[in-house]
Amino acid sequence: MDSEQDRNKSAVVAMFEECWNKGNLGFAEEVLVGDFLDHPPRRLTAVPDRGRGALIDLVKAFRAGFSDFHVEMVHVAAERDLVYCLVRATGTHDGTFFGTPATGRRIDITGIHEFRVRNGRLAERWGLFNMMGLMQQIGAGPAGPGGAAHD
Amino acid sequence: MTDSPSKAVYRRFVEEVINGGAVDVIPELFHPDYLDHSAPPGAGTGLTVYEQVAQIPKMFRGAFPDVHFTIESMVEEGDWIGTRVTGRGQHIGNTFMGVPPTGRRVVWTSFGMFRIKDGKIAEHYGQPDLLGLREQITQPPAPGSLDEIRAIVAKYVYATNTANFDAFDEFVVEDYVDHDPVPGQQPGREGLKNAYRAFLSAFPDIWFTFEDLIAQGDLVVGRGVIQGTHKGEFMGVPPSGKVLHWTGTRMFRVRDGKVAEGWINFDVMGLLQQMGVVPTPPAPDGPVAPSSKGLRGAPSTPAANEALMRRFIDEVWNKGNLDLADEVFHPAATSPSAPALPPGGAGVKVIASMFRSAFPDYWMTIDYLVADDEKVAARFSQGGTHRGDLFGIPPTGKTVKFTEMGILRVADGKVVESWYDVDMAGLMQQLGVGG
Repeated sequence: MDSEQDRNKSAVVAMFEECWNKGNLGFAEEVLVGDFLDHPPRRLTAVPDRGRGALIDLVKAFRAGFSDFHVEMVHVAAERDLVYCLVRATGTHDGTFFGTPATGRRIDITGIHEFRVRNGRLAERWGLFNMMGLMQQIGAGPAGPGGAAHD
Repeated sequence: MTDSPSKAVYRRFVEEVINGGAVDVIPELFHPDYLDHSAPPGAGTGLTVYEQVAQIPKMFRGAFPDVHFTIESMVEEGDWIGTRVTGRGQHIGNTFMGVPPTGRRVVWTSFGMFRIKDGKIAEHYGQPDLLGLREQITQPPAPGSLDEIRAIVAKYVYATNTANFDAFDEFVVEDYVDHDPVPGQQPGREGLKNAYRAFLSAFPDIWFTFEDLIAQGDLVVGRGVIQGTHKGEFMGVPPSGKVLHWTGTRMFRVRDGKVAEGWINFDVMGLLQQMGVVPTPPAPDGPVAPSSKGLRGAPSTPAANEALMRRFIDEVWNKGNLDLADEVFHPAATSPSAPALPPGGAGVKVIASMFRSAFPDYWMTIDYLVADDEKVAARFSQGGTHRGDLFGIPPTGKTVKFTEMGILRVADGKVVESWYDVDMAGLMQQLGVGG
């Protein structure tokens, strides 16, 4: 029999598979609770929507920039009502991504996301893809903390 | 709630290595097979585990000397733990991501996944919000804002550290006024540059680490830890070749985007002691209280912090109402300036009663006060007639007056940490001792 944590992990895996990999945004209505709360990184706090729409818009932005955007679970850990997942994301920059026109370059980055799950549905998200690595891979990134830009 | 052994290892890494800078505990926390999948860009290869891990606090503390991580969430399953932390710090150290120090206070989130093996961290993936952090330090400060005057002082500190004194012309007024000139310092901006050059010739590798910049109105207070190798003559003392550490607190008035006036109290006595010119008092015995650096709580307001400082000085130091110290200070509060004192109000009482019994007519005034929502700094004058024993010096009957800078850090309405730079050399000179 699956534990509550196993079911919570399955919900997170299903969300990535349906929404991020297949672009099935209707699934977001199903897997996210009605009062879903997104905690975007600080630079995105200007985004007014913190609800389901925030996550849906993020998926749309990534899939617009990378039509084959694909998220693969590397490691998932759950305890209490929380799920952490380490992911690897790949894709081809064949569309405009946050203002940067298509370059045709491939990206391969990691990300870590945390979810709070309520009754089998995702209630809160915190998380980041390696955006600096991504921007550097498409040639639009700033220098890293060591000082020099790198690929 | 007690952490599991795996979570406890991660917590020690955050609290001891990142927040405390204690790199010597790295071998206790990291497995010899440690593999970092998210090494900072530019990190060298072929490094030992110790060297790899030590780069992390070096990078963050180098740029943000007061960096502090708060663990927001931890999840453990099997041998993996997931973590989310909030990092906070003030950008007054080194260049970070190509951006020279800005004085900006920043907040960022960082995620981690760690594999634990044999009770130690064996593998790490990290995801700090570096873009968000960079955006905060590249945003130009609003004209007339406190961010702007902190940025000017951060530039000043960086110019002194890189010995780029010509840059002073950009952010120091020509008729700069120093209220605490070093002996022989000439007036104005040129005199200031030459005073720094004199320090540089005595300590060619001198580095000022400012651990905070507090701003209010047109004043900025910064407290620093200074390190340098004594390779040239200083205050008439021939080079000792020793690496010396001392502290100093600086206050500046900024006018029209430039530093116009300066005040300083620095630990001249400590310097002379380390040079071997003045005897070093015996180290106190007994246990030293653990640092209260990690004590955090809700911030206050500048007005409330100002009121707290004024009440503390007036009641405890001027009126001798020592018991108020227990109300104003958190019981675990410590002072890096006097680590041997007992924590909390008890330590304050020791030092206040010592001065008040040496100077029965002791008085203290607040000449300047600078408060933000976390810290309150003041420049004090104090004095009295020396009628009782002070540090073993029998009464001289002399009337003295000397200055001091003090900083209190406030959390949940209580003082949780404090720093002092007192003109002890001036005091000793007036008493006719040493100096």
